Amino acid sequence: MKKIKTLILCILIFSLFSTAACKKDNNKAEIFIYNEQDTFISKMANSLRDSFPDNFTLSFHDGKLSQNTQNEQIVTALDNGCKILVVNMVDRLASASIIEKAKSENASVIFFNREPIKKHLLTAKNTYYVGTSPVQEGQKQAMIAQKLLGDPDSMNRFIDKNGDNTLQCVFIQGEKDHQDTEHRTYSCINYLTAIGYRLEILAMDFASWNRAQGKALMERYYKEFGSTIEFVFSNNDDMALGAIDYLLESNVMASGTSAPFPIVGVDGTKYGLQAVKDGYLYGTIVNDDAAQSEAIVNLCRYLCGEIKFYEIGFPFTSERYIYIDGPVVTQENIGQYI
Amino acid sequence: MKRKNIPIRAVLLSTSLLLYLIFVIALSVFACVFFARSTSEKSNELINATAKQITYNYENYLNSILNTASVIQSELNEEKTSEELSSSFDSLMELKSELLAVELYDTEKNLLCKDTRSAEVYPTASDQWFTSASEDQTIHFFEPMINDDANVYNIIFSKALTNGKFHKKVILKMVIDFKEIIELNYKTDLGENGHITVIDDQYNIVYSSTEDAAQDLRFLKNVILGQDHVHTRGHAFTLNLDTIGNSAWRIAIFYNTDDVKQAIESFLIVVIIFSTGMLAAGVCAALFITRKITVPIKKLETTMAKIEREMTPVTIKDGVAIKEVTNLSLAYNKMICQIRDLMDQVVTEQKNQRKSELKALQHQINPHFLYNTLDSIVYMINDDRKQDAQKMIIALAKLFRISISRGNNIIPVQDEIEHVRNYLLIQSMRYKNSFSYEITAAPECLHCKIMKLILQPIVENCIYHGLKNKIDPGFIRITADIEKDNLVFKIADNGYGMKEETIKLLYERFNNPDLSDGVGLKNVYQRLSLYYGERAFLHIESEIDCGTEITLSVPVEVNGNEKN
Repeated sequence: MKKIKTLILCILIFSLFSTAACKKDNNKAEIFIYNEQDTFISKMANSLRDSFPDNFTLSFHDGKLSQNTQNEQIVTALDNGCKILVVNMVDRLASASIIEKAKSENASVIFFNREPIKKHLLTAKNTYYVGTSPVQEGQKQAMIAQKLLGDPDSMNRFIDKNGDNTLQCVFIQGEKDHQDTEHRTYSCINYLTAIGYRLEILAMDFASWNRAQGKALMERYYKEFGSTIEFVFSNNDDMALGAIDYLLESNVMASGTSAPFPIVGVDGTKYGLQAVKDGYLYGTIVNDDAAQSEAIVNLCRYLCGEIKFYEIGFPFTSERYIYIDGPVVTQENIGQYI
Repeated sequence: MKRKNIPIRAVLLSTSLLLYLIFVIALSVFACVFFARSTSEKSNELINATAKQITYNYENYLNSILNTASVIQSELNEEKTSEELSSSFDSLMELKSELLAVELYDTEKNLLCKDTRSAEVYPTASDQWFTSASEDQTIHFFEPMINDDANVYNIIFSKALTNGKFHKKVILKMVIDFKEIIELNYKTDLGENGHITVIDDQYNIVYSSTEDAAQDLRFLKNVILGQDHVHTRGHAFTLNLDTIGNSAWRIAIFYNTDDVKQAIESFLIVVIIFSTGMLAAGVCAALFITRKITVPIKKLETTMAKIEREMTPVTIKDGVAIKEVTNLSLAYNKMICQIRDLMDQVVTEQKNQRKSELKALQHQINPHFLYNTLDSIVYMINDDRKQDAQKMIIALAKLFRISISRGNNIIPVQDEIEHVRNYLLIQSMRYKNSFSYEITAAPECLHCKIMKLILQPIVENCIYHGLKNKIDPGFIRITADIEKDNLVFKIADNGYGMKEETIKLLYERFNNPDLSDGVGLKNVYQRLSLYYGERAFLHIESEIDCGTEITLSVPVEVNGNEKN
């Protein structure tokens, strides 16, 4: 009888220890996104969910466009002992507070999609940024235009409809003060002007990455400039799709035909690629969420001590930045992507 | 294992009070915890809402500045001359009263154009606004100005913009009066000493509604972001530290929470008073209830203790006891009735038995005497002493008449004396006047009642054991008298007397129930005790060669009702 009791006790203790040991293997990462409604961000969140290995416990928090809400979520997570924060900030300028708070709790922060202020990021160890290179994306948008326009001094008349060898264009910008907004826009402009194109920017305004706002902005542009618009640069696909929504709804463009002027986006979302295939959107630059997710996951695994630094497998810029390039997708090569 | 007997009242009182105590304490603790929690939750909600509102106000304000910058950017897109720009700056300033200066610089920090409202370039302490804005063109900067006047809060806004169709980089500088937003938030009640402090990312104080904001910095550096409870300036505060959108600034809101503490404390006092009251009421109730149970039970108990002596039923008034105890006493009363019935039955049975015993004892007297007397009569007739024979027969007849007394056991003392007189007559004749006798009876006792045939056996003893074969003339004296409600008979002889041991032996034999051991004295004693119980008294006093005196004492009975 006594033997059986000791045996049972032993088994119990053993199982207790083994479960505790199992638990210890579970790494935890909390992911904060600025807005679930954003197509690219939700795609990115899904991709993150798929990329993390099973021994990671994930939880996702939606900031719902409020930095204050996100602050609360981050503070709560840190209070609960979270050691790895994966943050897509609502307001880039909040990075200083987030980094300082995380530092005080000995937690690591990996920012993605929205780049923190560099001088803040460098104040703490174990703080990283993973994102696209908005400068390159802007340049790639410019390259799509360059390919279509040809010689700056005798532009393709299909595009330069009034034949003045100046490109009358509009910009649909993302969010005010988003580093991607500024970089995508100005690197595009700078690239084109540098190689000799004359641009006449009819209008540039913000639509906060949002499809409905993109549609509203296009309506405003079209009503003001009508067919003088020769090119539309959009900071992302969603807003470009919003512009297409307007053109289709107002019958400027018939369903199944291509747009009266080329529209280019960035991100290469599912709908964006579909629009390229349908001929509405001329081209886009893939914002490679899978690669970004992989970089984030590898950083997390490195921070947990699972892999060595050199195993992260992505090149660092300024020690803490991982910029990921995406391929250009236009109607010519859409077949490879869809 | 022997358990101590604990009184039911103590058990009831202690258990019920203990349970009640636990209940009340648990209830109070629960109420306090619940109240404290919900109150602080409520106040937290309020604080959060207030903090959000204040933060929102600041964000809105900064947002409107950003919008102004956007407007300027769109002006710049239109490729205006510096005069045109200056006038549009002026109209902007007219629209937005918080704008104190708008200036535009090129990348070499040369002034391109400015508003015409102020003659001079607005002085700034450092070039930080310029260097920051030219370093990172994607963001804007807010910078507090060092103001000499404590009531002036001006800030500098700077941002890189692009000018004209060829997107030349320019730096916009705006000086903004911060007072409007400060005044807006003055209206918010943060409690006594509650205040707002705005800091930049280097913990420089941009603005504070209190003068000694510097002492708060240690809290701010500790909290960084989020909420905490701090104690400063003699008050409890909830500190909310949050970012202000569109800037790298943070806003610290100190909300006085003394009220919450006070509310919780006063609630605690109320609960303590209430629960003490409840406890007192509980003690009273417990005492009352246990009394209802225990008092009737006590009564029952004392009544039961008296059962041997009194056998009275318990009387418990309606409403005094609880139902079960009343039922118990009813059951007890029923039992008492039954016991009484049984006892009555036993008494009747005993009476019958005693009657038969009495009869038997009375019957023991007769035979020898009758045979001897009859022998004497026969002898007298043979001797031709007719007169004597006649006398004897008459005496014998009287003797028997009284003996029988129509079956009555109790007869008047007169008759009893007559009976013994006749007996003595017969015996003195038989023994040829070898002894003499004297009977004296107090007249008041003659009509008292007494059990019959009690003197005769004693007299018989005197004759046979005291006087028989005595050489000297014998003498028997019988007296009857009343002493203190007792009828006292004394039968004395001058015979041989008895030794102490013999008397002792006699007394011992009195209590021997064996009836066959029929000695006259024992017979009398037993009959007396059967009838009178302990009130009957028989005393022997004797001296060798002097005589014996027997004293009989029974209670006076005038009516002499036949008991059986």
